[in-house]
Amino acid sequence: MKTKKMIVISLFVCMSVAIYAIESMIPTLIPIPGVKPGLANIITLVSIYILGKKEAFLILMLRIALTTLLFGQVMSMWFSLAGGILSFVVMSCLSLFMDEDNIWAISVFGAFAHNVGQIAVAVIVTRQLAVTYYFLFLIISSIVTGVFTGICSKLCIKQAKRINILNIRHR
Amino acid sequence: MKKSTKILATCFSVAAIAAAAGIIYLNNSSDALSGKYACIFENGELVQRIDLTSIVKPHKIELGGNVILVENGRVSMVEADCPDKLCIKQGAITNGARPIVCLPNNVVIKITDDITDVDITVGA
Repeated sequence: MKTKKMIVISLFVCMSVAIYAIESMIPTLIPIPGVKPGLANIITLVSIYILGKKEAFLILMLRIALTTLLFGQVMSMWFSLAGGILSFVVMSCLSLFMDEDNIWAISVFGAFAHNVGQIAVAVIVTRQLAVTYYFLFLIISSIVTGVFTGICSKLCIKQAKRINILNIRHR
Repeated sequence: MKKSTKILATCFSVAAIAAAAGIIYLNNSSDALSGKYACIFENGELVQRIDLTSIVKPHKIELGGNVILVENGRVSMVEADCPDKLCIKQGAITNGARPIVCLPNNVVIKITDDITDVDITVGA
């Protein structure tokens, strides 16, 4: 791994942990478990496009490990892992064949997949199928937050490509 | 605006409206989902079943880090030692549409009608 790439990866990890920390300080407006802006997803989406899928996955895993150590409980790690991995898989698959103009939609699908993973863990943990009721709320919230983080990601990707942070060719 | 953008935007709008309709339907169909028993689950196990129709004086139930208030026909979470307090903010439930969930303490409260109602067991 090139030093430059390593530095960019660690910067991305730093940013996503910082975003997560700031986001966790924002009081929740809607009292539904799982409804949150999901701003750290911007970093995942940007790194898929700028650095590549392998690096994006590494950044995601490092972010989950660090945020769990810094802010989380043991339980929250499983929620983050399930949601994070599922949304990463969905977003990286969609990024293969979807137009870059539709990053906002990829972000919505990612947010949606994140909620699917979290609900799945919630059902396993509580052993209550009734928890899936919250999924209806999460569909709406994932569309709203997904569009927002998607637009943010698009702006970030545009800027990162313009300044060409890695000095590499982009697809 | 591109065609694919329009299609996606339409799909998402339809999904959001369908979800909103689902929430409204579930919350209003209290007849179909009415129940008289409040079941409290901790770590997936049923720990208490309370007949909500027989309650004359509201009382509190302490359960680990949570305090549950049971009243005639309704049940709510009033105290929790978790950081987010989402279960308290959700308020009281009166029917089986929505459960109260406290994920950090793994406590679920739901209302059912059926005394034999034993929810599915997922995993070990």
